[in-house]
Amino acid sequence: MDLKEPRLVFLEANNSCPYRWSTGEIVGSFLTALRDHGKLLASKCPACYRVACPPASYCEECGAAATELVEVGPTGVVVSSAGVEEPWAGAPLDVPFCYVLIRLAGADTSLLHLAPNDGSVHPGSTVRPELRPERNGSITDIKWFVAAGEVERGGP
Amino acid sequence: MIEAVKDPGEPENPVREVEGSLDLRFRHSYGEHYDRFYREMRDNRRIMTVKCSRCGAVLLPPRPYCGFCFSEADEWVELPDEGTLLTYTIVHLPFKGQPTEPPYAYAFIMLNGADVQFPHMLGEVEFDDIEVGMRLKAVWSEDRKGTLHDIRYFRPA
Amino acid sequence: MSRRDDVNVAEMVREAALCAMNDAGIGPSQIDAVVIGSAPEIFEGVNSPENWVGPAVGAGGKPVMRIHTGGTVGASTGVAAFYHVAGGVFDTVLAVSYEKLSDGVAQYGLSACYDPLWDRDFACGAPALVGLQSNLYLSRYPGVNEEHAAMVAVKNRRNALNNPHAQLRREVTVRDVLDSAPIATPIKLLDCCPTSDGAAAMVIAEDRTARRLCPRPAWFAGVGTCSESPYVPHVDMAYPESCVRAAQQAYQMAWVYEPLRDLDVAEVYEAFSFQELIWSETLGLCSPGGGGRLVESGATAMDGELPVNPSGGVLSANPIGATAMIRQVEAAMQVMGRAGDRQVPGARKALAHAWGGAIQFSVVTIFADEV
Repeated sequence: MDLKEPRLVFLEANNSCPYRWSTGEIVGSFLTALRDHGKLLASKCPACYRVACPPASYCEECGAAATELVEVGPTGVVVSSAGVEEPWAGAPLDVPFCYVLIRLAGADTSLLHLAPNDGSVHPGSTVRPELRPERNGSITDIKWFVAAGEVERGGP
Repeated sequence: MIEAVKDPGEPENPVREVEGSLDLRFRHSYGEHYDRFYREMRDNRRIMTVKCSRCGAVLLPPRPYCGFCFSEADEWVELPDEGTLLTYTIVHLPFKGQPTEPPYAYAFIMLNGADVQFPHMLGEVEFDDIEVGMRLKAVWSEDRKGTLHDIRYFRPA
Repeated sequence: MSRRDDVNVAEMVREAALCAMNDAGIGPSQIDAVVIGSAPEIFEGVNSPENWVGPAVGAGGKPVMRIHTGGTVGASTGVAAFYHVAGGVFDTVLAVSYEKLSDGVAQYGLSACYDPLWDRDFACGAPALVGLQSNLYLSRYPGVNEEHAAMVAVKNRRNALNNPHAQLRREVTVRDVLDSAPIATPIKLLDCCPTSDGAAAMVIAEDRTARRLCPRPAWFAGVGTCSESPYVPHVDMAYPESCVRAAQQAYQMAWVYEPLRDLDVAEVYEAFSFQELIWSETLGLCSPGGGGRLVESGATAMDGELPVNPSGGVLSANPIGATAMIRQVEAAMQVMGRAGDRQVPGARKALAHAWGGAIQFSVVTIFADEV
């Protein structure tokens, strides 16, 4: 017996899986300080003095428990960047942006975040965070990092 | 610049979890074997599958190799839409993507001539009357789209 | 093991890793390689979790391997670490395995384990799968019934009272189990394991190092692993061949000829009470169809000939990715004489069993106090 069109080529499947990720106390404190005070906190290792932002309750370098939180930034220097010209559906922002690794003042590690993709931010730039007016305790409470000079000229 | 954070006291509702979701979209490729299997169900209202060229096992789901002896399975055969109940369970648990509201009877059916079970549901039977080994026959849907739901359920034969 | 809102995944695993390393009196610098196991990433919603968990357990700068074999992953992780050392490549290896089911919705992960082009619509996770398995088993052996399964639940839930790490620590009666809500027949609520958060860790070392670090180590005496597929001919859910073969491999290595006699204690993976009846048979503790009589006789009780699941078993805690390693840890601690209130007196040879997938993976590990 003959088979009819259409052939079966693809089965579309969409799954939306919800999560509630426990942060633990240290990451929780980082997000709380960002939400409530717009501050960036880092963890300082008591054994090797490495300052890590974002913080963790353990030092990834030497393995010691790290429970002291210190404030870092708000400015930082861009270490590396990768530009996105055409954001895809579900991208972190819906305007052209750069992924940036930022060495915040006082930190020994780089923070991954975003920056405008308009030539204002590049490796070596000093940047500072542009906070969202409404914050809920996630890393996106910072919209992105902008060139520090811009904000000093009377930015948001 | 670097100073230990003075204890600001415990905030009223410190952040302790981050909510989010993973939105996963896929386009699963059918492949030739599933394509033929499901179009046979959709268009010709029958179950066609493959037989192993070496050990002769009739396999489900159809695929180009035999999972038992790893030889090619390239001969297509027609299976009747009748068989016996290998095992079953009455599902009471609500679960993502279920075919119907629980409770329902989820079954493994050995179609006549097949060597691997066919997963489906039972209908037109009281749960207490279901017995392993009972003879079953498929009830087909008139609105077939090329899925296992082209058979609505199996009922006692 | 229970719901851990107070830590993130990496911190939870670090707790277990530190516990094992501190117990061995070593730090990360003395670990040569790390093996990390967990069940499908969709449970916690973080892909390549070894990137996150690795640094938390001191894996920086070391060889790291991630293992995944369904519900057996914890045991496979322990076995992989054993191969690392037994193969002579590394001296001291850290094995960790974990699950934090409370971060996600377990059903989504379980549902996605099935082929979307075949039976994903009909499959209903582990309870329905084991419901099918259990009904096949009960229909084959009319002398075994739901009461025998309930006896397993009663035994293991009572044993859990001696285990401070168990999540469920409240006794139940046979009547409680039989009257509990149906989930997927013949399985009822009290025949089921809970969903748990948890992690386990082991330090595995070669001979001289082990003797230096530990006055009475548990030795890997036998290892067996086998896998099969649910959709091939001649598969028998009520008597899985993969378990029989894995057990035979392990028994041959460990000089176990009559398991009931030659083993002193067993930890088996009974996610649902009926499974302990089935695994008793596939592990050769009794003949096929004898699982009901075995539990009824009291032979597998704490004061029986071969105590099974003195820890309370999987019925008392099930952090999926860690569960199979927890069976290994419990078995190892028995032969080390460190099982606390759940210690089987004089235990010298202990079995840890695991199953996983659509009942397709089996791992059997045997520990002894000497080799």
